[in-house]
This record gives sequence, structure tokens and C-alpha cells, in this order.
Amino acid sequence: MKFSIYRFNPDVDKKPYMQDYDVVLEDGDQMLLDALLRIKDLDDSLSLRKSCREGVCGSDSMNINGKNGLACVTKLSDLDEPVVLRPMPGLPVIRDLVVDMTQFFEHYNSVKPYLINHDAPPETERLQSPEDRAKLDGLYECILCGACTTSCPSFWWNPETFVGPAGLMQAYRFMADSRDQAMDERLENLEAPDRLYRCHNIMNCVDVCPKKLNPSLAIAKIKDLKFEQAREHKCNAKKHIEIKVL
Amino acid sequence: MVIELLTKRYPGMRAWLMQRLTALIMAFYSVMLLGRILVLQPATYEEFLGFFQPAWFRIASWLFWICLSIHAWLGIRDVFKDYVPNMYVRSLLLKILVLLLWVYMAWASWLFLM
Amino acid sequence: MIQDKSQVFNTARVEALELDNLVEVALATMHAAEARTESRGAHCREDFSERDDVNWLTHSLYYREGHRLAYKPVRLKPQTVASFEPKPRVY
Repeated sequence: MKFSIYRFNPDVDKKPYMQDYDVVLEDGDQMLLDALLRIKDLDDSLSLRKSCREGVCGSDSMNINGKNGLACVTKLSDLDEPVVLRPMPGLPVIRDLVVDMTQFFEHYNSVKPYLINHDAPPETERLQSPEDRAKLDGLYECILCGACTTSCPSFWWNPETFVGPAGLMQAYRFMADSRDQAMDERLENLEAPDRLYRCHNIMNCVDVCPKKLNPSLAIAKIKDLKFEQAREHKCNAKKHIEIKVL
Repeated sequence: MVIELLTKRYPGMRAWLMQRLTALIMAFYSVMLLGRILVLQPATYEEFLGFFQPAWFRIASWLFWICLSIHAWLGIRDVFKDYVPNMYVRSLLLKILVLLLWVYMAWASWLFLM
Repeated sequence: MIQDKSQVFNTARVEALELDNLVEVALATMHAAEARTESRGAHCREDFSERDDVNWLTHSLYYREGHRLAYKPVRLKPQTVASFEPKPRVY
């Protein structure tokens, strides 16, 4: 099977280049990652991240024939030859298919992706009704592979300011959590014009997500929540004025 | 009520909401305009002048133009933000845009209100 | 032989080091399992098919030098919750 793979080693190469491989597959080889490991057997200088080989760890996300995805859950039979593999766009390349995810995780951390609850911890778990738990479906499954954020033009053009679909969906994951108490703080955190509102519903994120999640919908829901919050603030402000007048 | 939300306290939402509100108004006007063209079918210059004769229609058109200017400002500002990374060039382009929008606004005001 | 000599994200070298560790862990497992003459959970022997709490309620410690084995008792008194007697799990 024919492959054309992006190569760059800062130790040796001045510029990145595409290298062609023709590799003989064996019977058990079904996924792209299997083929990549065959190539790595032939040429151990090809660097890529990988770990669980079953779409759970989110390490081997890359640009496959122009579309971001996980090598381990991409079937070889679905790919046109030569399979063109590049690192995910929009992030600095460390080497070959490995990108520097620092900025991605900085944005992720900036939305405080953890439960904020000021009540004293109870003896047992903080309980949640099955209905409330169901609100987290389609949000908590994110494996932070970065395929969505690095396929987002808004992120390409504004990587320093725009949080990106992965980070925003995790922001919404905690807004939607019945046990979380920091809704106002979370919404306020996304007010700056470029953090949330750079999303123009391009929906590349939905297209590429290997877990079939919908960051675009989550972002739309954050916008709804922001509108509701602003309205409530206005109402409260009015009440304050009325009380003062009385 | 919605207008009250368009304050400096919510810079991100203000722009986002404004873009949608203006789009809504423009959509209403466009449907109205299309309906009016289909009903009256102005073919000659005189008929066209008559088409723009009623005061309510002139004011509606003028409001449409205000919305269009705001909508264009927000939209094109976003496009420049994306595709013109150089700050000097971008601010120059934005200034030209503002100037153009005001010129068109003045022209539209003169056409619709005078 | 590792062809890749790079200092940057050299996964070939990382994998070689990992293999080294895997061999080490495999050796430890092998020696400790061979010495443990009982069956317990995933450690399942045909020649000793029963669980033996009298002799083998103990942690195995492995040392690389001479594949030496030592043993350490299992702490059966938890600090905060009530303790319960160990007994075979039957399903």
C-alpha cells in the first residue's frame, strides 16, 4: 500500500518534505495505525504519537488524506492511495507527525475543566439524578485528541485568543453539570470577543470528531446561556434600583 | 429588552447579538421588498420613483441601510481579523471600511429621506 | 539496532527503553509466580489449583540480583474502615 508522509526532523532537515513509502501489509492489518507501525519497522526514524490503538487515548490524531482523524480507528480499506499523512494543521510541528499541543492544552485549562463546588464534601459521592447525568452525554466522551480544534479555521487564524471547539465543549460540559456551581464565573470567562464568539459555526469540528461528538452544538448552547445570564443580570439590576427607590 | 443587552458590559455578546438582530430586520425587509416588487412590478423610471414614494417605505429602506451598515461592519471586521494579520494594514483597512460605510450611509440618508 | 539517532521525539529509542523495562517486569512476574505455589485471582496454576491463605497471604518482592525473592505481609487492618476476614471469592 502506498503512503506519502510528511517528514521533518529539526536536527537534520532545513525544510519539511514528503516521503513516499510502499509497504506490504499482513492479514491482520486493518487500521491505518497498523500500517504506520509496519512502516516504522522499516524506517524507525518516523516519529508519531500512539498508545492505546483503539480510539481512547487520543494520541495518534493526524491529518489523513486532508481530514483530521485518529490513525487507530481509520480503516485502511476506506482510504484512497497514496495515503497522504500530515501532522495536524495549526500547531507547531515538533517532528514528523508529532505536533506541540501546549497551546491546545493552555486553552483547555483556561476554561477550568473541573468541577467547582463550594459546598463541603459529603460523606459519599455528590449524587446526580439519571436525568441530570444524561445531560453530560455527548460532552464527557471527549478524548482531547485535538482533531476538532486543529481543523477549525477560526483557531488557525486566532490561535492565541480563540479557545477552540475542544476547550469550549469542555467549558459547556461543566456548565451542564448539575453539581457545578460556577456557571456565572464560567460564562464571564468567555466574554472577551475572541474567546467564544470567534466560532462562526463552520462545523469542521463536527465533521472530523473521531468520537462523533458535536462541539458546534455545545458552543451554540453556551451562547444561549450567555444570553440568559445577561438578561437575568439586567432584571436583577432593575430590581436593585426599585428597592433603592422604595 | 433585547436592546438593553447591547451594552459595553458584554462586548462579545453585543457584537454577536447585533449581527443576528440586524440580519433578522434585513430578512424581513427583503421579503417585504420582494413582495412589493412582485405586486407593483415597476417597469419604467416613473413607476420606480412611485415605488419609492411612500414615506413608510423610505423610512423602512433607511432602517434597512442602517442595519446593513452595522452588519457589514461586524462581518467585515471579523474577516479582516482572520485574514489580515498585519496590524497596520488591518487598522488602515478598517478605517477605509468605516469611511466607506459612513459615505454610503450619508448617501442612503439623502436618497431615502430627502 | 536503532537507526534513529535524533534528540527530538525519538520514539524508536523510547520504545527500546520500554522494551528493556518490559523484559524486567516479565522476569519479575515469572520468578515470583513460579515461587508462589498456589492459585490466586489471575495467578492460576494447574499444579496448585487452590488458594492458600495460610502460606501465601503475602506480597512478593523481586530483586534483580540473582532473581532473589522476598516477602512482605499484607496489611489486614485498614486505618479508617472496618476490616473483614480474607476468604476465597466464589462466583
